[in-house]
Amino acid sequence: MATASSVLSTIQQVESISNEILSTVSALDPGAALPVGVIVAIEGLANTALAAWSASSGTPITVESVHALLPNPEPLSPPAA
Amino acid sequence: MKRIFMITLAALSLVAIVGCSNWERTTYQTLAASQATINQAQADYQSGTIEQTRAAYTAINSAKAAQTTAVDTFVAYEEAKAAGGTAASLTAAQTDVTVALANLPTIIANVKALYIATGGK
Repeated sequence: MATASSVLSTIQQVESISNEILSTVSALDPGAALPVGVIVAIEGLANTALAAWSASSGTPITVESVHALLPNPEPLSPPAA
Repeated sequence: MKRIFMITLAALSLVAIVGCSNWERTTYQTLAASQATINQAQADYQSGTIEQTRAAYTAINSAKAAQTTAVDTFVAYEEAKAAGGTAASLTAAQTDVTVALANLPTIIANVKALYIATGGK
């Protein structure tokens, strides 16, 4: 039987992972001399992630809604040889 | 003594249920955020915002694979829960999900690095 401490530990692990992901996509090193285009793209990426985080806060969690979290199934174009 | 045992058992069950709900919600939101990030990176790769190099191709495909694995384990958890799985089986399924999720931060960092490597287009 799961103990209270093991259950809380699992929650803390997932919270730690989610914090790390969100901070990774949001962080922009102020000392890095990045082109404006890169900054705009990275900010767009962060906004996309944070918007998805917020939007999913009220989604009913079912087998179907979890399955919908699979990535885009379209294959990437292979790079030029 | 029996009363104390029953109260303790009820308290642990409550922690497991509440903890399960918190865990499920945080897991769901985490996977929603990572899905959005990976899908955006794919779109940016296809559009050329991320340079279409072998490294980028590999990194994004690795990200998609990691996301798929994490989602599949979460689906398995929800299926077990819907089928009335035991606390032990649900705990094991939770562990599987948490282990799969642990790969995502590094994966996401690698995807973000593709934008910096591209140098802006």
